Amino acid sequence: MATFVDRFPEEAKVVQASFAVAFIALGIGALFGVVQALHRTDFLRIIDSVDYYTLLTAHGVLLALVFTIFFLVGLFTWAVARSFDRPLPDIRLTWAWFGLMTTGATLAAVAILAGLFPEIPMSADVLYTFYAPLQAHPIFYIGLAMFIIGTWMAGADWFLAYREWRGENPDDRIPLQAFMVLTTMIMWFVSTIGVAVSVVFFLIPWSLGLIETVNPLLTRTLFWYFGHPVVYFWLMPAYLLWYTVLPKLAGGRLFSDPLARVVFVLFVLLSTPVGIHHQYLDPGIAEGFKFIAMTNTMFLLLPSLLTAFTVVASVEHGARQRGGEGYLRWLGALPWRDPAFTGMALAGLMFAAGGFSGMINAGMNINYLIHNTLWVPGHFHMTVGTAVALTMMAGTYWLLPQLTGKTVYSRPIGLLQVVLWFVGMVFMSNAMHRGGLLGIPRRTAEPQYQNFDFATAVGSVGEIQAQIALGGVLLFLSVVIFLFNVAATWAQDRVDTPVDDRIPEPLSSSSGAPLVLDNLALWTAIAVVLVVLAYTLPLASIVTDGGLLGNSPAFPVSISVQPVVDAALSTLESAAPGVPIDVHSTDAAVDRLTEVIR
Amino acid sequence: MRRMSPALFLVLVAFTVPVAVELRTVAGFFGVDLPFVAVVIVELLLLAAITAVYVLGRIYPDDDEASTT
Ligand code: HEM
Ligand SMILES: [Cu+2]
Repeated sequence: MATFVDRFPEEAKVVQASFAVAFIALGIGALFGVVQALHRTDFLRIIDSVDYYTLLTAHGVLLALVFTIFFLVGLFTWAVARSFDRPLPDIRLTWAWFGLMTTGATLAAVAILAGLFPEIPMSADVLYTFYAPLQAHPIFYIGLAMFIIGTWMAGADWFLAYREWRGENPDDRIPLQAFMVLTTMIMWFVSTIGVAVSVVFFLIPWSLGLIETVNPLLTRTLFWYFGHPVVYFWLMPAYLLWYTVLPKLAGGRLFSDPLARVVFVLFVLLSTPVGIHHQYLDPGIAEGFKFIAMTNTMFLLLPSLLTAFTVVASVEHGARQRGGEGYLRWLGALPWRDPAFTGMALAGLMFAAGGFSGMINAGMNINYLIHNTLWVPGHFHMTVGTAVALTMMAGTYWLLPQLTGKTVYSRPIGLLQVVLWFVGMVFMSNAMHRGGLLGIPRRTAEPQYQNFDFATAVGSVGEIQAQIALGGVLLFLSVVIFLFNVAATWAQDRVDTPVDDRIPEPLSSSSGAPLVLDNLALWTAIAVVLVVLAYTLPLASIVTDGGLLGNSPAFPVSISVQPVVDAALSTLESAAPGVPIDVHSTDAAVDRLTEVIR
Repeated sequence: MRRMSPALFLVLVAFTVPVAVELRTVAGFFGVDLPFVAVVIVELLLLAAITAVYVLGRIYPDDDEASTT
């Protein structure tokens, strides 16, 4: 039986290439992850703390942007070709966006990693949130811009495929997977405008020295305008797999096609007008706007709860098809041996836990408790770091055979890998959440202070640190095993039927879905109106207050300690005239301070 | 005894970790401060229970299940 690679050999190559880039980024990012986890818990410090931000930036960018989005474009290309059942309009366009994205990502990565080598006059230690006043080398922003334009071209590619298909099938419903891709891309087009404006009009000219200053609050707000939708951009490929692939792996079929469409439409509408919920602590934005963002955010829980219901119902249906019975005993009838199934199921479960901690983040008042603490990385390692990343790794065990025509090298090793990820993440993120509640800060190389101890309610800080370090090591091991398994799969020989790639029709099929759901133009228009409503006033007031270009120079700026030392010396002298001051030791102190600042 | 697949066994073992770790937090809510060794002991008990079910299921499979895998 012909699988994807036989039917669409050209598309399969692009998807494989995208996955390859994604996995390389995963490997490097995970290495930096474990280095950080061991460094900040003080178990093993192989880097200088001065380089911590360089690694943290690389970790965030390589995993949260490069790994996830390259996997996404591969997955969406697969989904579009197979669900329209036709090749993409022009494979050269497909390769063009892949090339642009890869070049952009490489430039950004080079700019970041150059920060590790003092002899190279280039750095980008701006963290993956890259807003001002932290400033990176222009190459970093230019790489980012190329990367984003590449994703726009990819979206255009898929919409062109849709137009061709529509021409030949004027009365058909959009196939579900293609519907998911198209709605996700609409959300992405609407939301990336913010970051594109920020990068092209402010950050690039500023880093090139064409403009002196920027308004940091404006670039922050534009970043978060994009920064919340991007989490749905990560999540939608996982949802696509949970809705269309997981029920099949469980032995059944999707419960309801119309409900899945409703969920994706809700994400188009609600993803963007909530970004200010990342800025609850930013001065300069009125409380009222923050309150509106919080209200929208709470509405956004709805589609995720709908998803939990539909996906669990579909999986239960699958288990009963396989002979499962009872209230809970059907769980035992699920295909736990299949790493693709088990990985996605564990990822979904952890997403539920991440969702609960997300509700704390989203509440304007309780957010103050955990803002900028280790709680926040604890939260997003469960969501993007597991719900998304583990689903992608698990999905690979089912997708790669279709893309290569080769069977997975070892499914038992795959099973071990996904379970190891789950256990590692339980350790790491549980401890991060608890540490955050004690006030342990995030983004800190050495979160230990003199004459101060974090007060614990349960357990000790030492245990929390140990749990983070242990979890980090297990996670890293899991990635190593994953990459080994994938590489070994690529090295296999081709076989006739590498995997059962059929996806059965949903129980309640698309014919029952209201036609209006497929009216993409309508949803786009409403989404834009909501964005305008949510953002016009806050942006207007930010610009009125701080000016379009603001007055903030770049950070880090080097501050000289010499004036401080001089002042101290003269105070000492006037306080104790005649007492000779040991100039040598002050000189040594100045040297040390300058060293630290560098 | 119901026969348990090695894969389900592995997944259940993984599940004991959050249970053991979080049990201490739950106890903390009720003012009971369990020491760290309590977590280790709970974890070992859970593992022992699951292993027992697994092994017994292998030795004495239900009649109707003995033929299937
Ligand atoms: C090998 C597995 C991983 C380990 C050991 C790890 C470890 C860490 C640690 C310890 C931090 C916090 C550093 C700090 O705030 O001082 C961190 C931050 C972060 N991690 Fe991971 N992580 C892993 C996987 C992932 C994955 C799969 C993703 C996303 C797909 C991810 C995304 C992030 C992001 C976005 C940050 C925040 C960076 C920032 O604050 O700017 N991590 N990671
Ligand atoms: Cu958000």
